[in-house]
Amino acid sequence: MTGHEHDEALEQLLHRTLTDEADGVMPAGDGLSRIRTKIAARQRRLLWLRPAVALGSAAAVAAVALGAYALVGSGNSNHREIGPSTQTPTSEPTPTNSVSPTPAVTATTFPPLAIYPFPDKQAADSWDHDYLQQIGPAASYTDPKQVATMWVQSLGITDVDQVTGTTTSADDTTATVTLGRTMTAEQGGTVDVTDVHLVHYLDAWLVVGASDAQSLLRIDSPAAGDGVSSPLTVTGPTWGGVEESVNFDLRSLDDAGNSGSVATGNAFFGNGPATWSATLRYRLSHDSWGELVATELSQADGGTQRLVAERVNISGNTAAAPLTYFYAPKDGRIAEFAAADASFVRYITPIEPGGGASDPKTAEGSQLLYYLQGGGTCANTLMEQDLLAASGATPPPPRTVATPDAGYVITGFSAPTGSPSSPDAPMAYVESACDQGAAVQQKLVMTDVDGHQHVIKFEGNPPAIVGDPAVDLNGDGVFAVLHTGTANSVVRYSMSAGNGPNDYAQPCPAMQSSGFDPQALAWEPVGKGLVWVVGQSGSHSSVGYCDLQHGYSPDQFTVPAASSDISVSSQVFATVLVATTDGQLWRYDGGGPATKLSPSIPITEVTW
Amino acid sequence: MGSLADDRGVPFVDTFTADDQVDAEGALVALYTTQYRSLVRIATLLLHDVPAAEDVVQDAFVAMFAAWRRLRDPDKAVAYLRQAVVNRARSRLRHLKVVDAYDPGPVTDAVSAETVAMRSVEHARVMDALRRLPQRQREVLVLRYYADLSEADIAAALGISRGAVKSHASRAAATLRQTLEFAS
Repeated sequence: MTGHEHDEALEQLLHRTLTDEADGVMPAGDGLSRIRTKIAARQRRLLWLRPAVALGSAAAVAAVALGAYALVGSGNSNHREIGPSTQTPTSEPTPTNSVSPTPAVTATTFPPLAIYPFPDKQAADSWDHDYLQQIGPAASYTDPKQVATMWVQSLGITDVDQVTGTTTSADDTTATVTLGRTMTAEQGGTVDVTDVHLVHYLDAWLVVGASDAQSLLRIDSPAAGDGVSSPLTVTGPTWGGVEESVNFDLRSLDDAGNSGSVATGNAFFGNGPATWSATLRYRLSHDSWGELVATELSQADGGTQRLVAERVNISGNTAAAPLTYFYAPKDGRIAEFAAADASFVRYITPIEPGGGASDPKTAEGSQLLYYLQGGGTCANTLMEQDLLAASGATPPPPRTVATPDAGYVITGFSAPTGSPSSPDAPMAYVESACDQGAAVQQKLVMTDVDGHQHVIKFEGNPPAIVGDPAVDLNGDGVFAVLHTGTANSVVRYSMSAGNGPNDYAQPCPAMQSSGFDPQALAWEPVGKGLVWVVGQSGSHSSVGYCDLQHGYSPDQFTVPAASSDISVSSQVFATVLVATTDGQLWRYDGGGPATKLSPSIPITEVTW
Repeated sequence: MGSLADDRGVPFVDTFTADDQVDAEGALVALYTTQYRSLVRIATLLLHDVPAAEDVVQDAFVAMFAAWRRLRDPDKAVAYLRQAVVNRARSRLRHLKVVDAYDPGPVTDAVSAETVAMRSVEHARVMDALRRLPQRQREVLVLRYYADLSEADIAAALGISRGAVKSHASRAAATLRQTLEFAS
């Protein structure tokens, strides 16, 4: 057989094998109904996020979906009691002022607000099965006082270890255990800290929430049982204190009774507004049961003074939500910002003495971050950080992708495409000389899909490449904004041919004849592939794109300032961010005018 | 409170009009009818787990539904679905670590051991060799030889360049030839 025949035979074998394999797969017939259910759940979840709606429909849905139990408030008091919620849908949300004196639930109804030791029925049933068979678990969960104490300890709170009171309902279905602590020797005595609410389920007692034993600290939003997503705003009433400080801990729960902190925050208040609020932000790769814990420390001795907790359901957000975040430099590090309101979320890159991080770019569906790390005078490196791993407790150190020659710094780059972690993934970067007298002022370093490197040297300045180049979708060309002394133009260099800065093609000639002065460009890899270009046009910046098949489409949108950077989403069609030289940030969603975002710091470099 | 945005960050509740909802519902049914089965099969070839594949495809349809106001075009929607399925399958493999590339594991949940035993040795060897390929290479082969997509469509679905598609396909073929001792 010839090589060609071998190729054809292999292709036929692959086609036949994959088709046979796939044809054996028959999806269940309920796919459409399951999709509709998920759509309805999504819309309901989004509606829950609307403050105006949340108190109505959300609670009605929750009443149905979560079963028979709810934590209910008693009028203006923050004291909470365990009571039955209605079994039928109601437009009235919890909390409600009517508390039935007679719990109407049975001990076989799993309390949906359970947070400890089992947040779900299956784990509780499994424990009970083993308990009845006298295998494995001890009987500690059968004592509400022990369960309450162990729960507080599971939060890392060790000073609240005194049981100061217990109330159990007549039918033994609910209990409230008051826990306190011993004040320091100077103060003396025992002080009540929290009322832990429990429900009897099978043979176990389950914590379903906790309220302030002094009836002052209370969480109004989110309500117990709510679904929450990042950013989470927690609110409650102030009580006329002075310099109060409440700490919040959003914790995920697993079915083994373990919990871990997902986000923390604080609220400070005194004799001011009637409510306090705190915003918690988190990254979590999966949905999770959760508990929201609020504590206040004593100003007298620093011990725990108040403790409030409730069950919430945490929505994961790491991988499934494109355009949730963008990235930009902040304080010499690359930071993550929320796309919805441009607020700061977290730092991605570590503090590096000797230089700051700049020029962020993402790849692989915004799962990998590339950036330039300064390393002192006339030195920097192109680095890669895994954004998902950076969310972990021990993020791995960034990986070095490219280092310039001595005497040069990297001044622009195109993030690797295809297999970014592979050393031969297509990429390009620009090295610029630190010495204005250097014989070679710039080098355009290009690596093609086969790992071959091709360098074009710029022996004068101008011409010079401005900003970042961009490897095109074919992986065999590099687009760049070229400054020629009088104006800028968009050019395309071959990744395998050409010896000098003038060996380029003009991919978008119509752009050049329009009087448009390009400043920055970016590839949009979604769909057919376009190069988006932002440039000066009169007193404002205009953004257009060049479709290599259909030509130049100018003026998709404008921003009222000189541009400094542009980024196009790799996951969603025609979604663009433009940063301006004065630090403004604009977002375009494929139609209509661009929307101005309001980051807390000026942003001149940005990436989705 | 949390942002009211869909997967693209576009406000969802406030801008999804009744007309949008009707259009999206019609598109959902049409695309489900024509695309669902093949997308589940593609996802199964990538995940080796039918329930997980169905879940991934359903989530892609949910995302497409939310994105309909901007997509509107069925061709765009198919491309969107395909890309979403591949991305979500990859995310599931990467984030949940449910698949060991070197562990053949069960072929699919829907295929019995008896059926597997009846399959040809050649089929089993090829599937085993495919599972041992790097993820990107496997994706390219599945989209090329099962879904019959063009290089451009594969590039769009994977969010990579056409050159990278060629490169992955070439490397995968070389590996398979060696693994299967194909030329001998």
